[in-house]
Amino acid sequence: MELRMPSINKVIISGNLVRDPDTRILENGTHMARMSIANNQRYRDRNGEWQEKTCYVDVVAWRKTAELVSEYCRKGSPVLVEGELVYNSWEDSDGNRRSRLEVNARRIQFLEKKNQGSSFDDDSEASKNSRDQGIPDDDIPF
Amino acid sequence: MTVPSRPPELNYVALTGEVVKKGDLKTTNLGIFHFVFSMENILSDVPDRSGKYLLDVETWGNLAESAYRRLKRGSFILVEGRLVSRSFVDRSKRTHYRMVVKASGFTILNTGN
Repeated sequence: MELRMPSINKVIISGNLVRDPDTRILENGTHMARMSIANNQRYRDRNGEWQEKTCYVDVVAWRKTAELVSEYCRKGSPVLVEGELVYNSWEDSDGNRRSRLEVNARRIQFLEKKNQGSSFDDDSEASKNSRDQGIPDDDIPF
Repeated sequence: MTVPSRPPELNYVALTGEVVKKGDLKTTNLGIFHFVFSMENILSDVPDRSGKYLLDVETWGNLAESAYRRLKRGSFILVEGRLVSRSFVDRSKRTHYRMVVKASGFTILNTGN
């Protein structure tokens, strides 16, 4: 029996939003939110001093998750993103081929506590609704 | 319980793919091995949007030595690690950023025959 190789594509990353999320509603009514998060890693250098490295990751969210992002997330908001790595390529206005890797968010946890401003915890109804939102093929605009 | 003031440093990626290109095993000034290879991944689970993409994977230290020795072109592997940004400046002095995976481990899923 011939077997297929398993396909695994999983990303779990936390960080703070670099800027306010860019949210839009597509022609078919699907909500979409794009954001960039800064993931910091602290480490000690050879001299024993703490250093910090930052990795910027583009994230795209869809449907209910995108609505919640636009409602609760702002520049600086701490989030935990679970999703998969996707590769997108497109042609810019100058006709140049552009591409980028980004994380397609399946689930986003808002890590800011309720009493510290605009946020919401993971037990809320809205959060439950935001989980495991599948992305139908026809909702992807690229 | 201590209330954290910054988000946890979570950065985990797990990907399967095929090794399509191997770099050389290099050594830094401090004697640390460094090996980069490219793997071809299918980075979308949406059937008609799936596209293969070459993703660079960095390995360091003993892992680099082991990866260089054991991985062959055609090896189908599972890589675990973290996403890291790398930047470079092109001839027109524009800075470009790309994402690579810094591997913490790998598993060979076939023998690459």
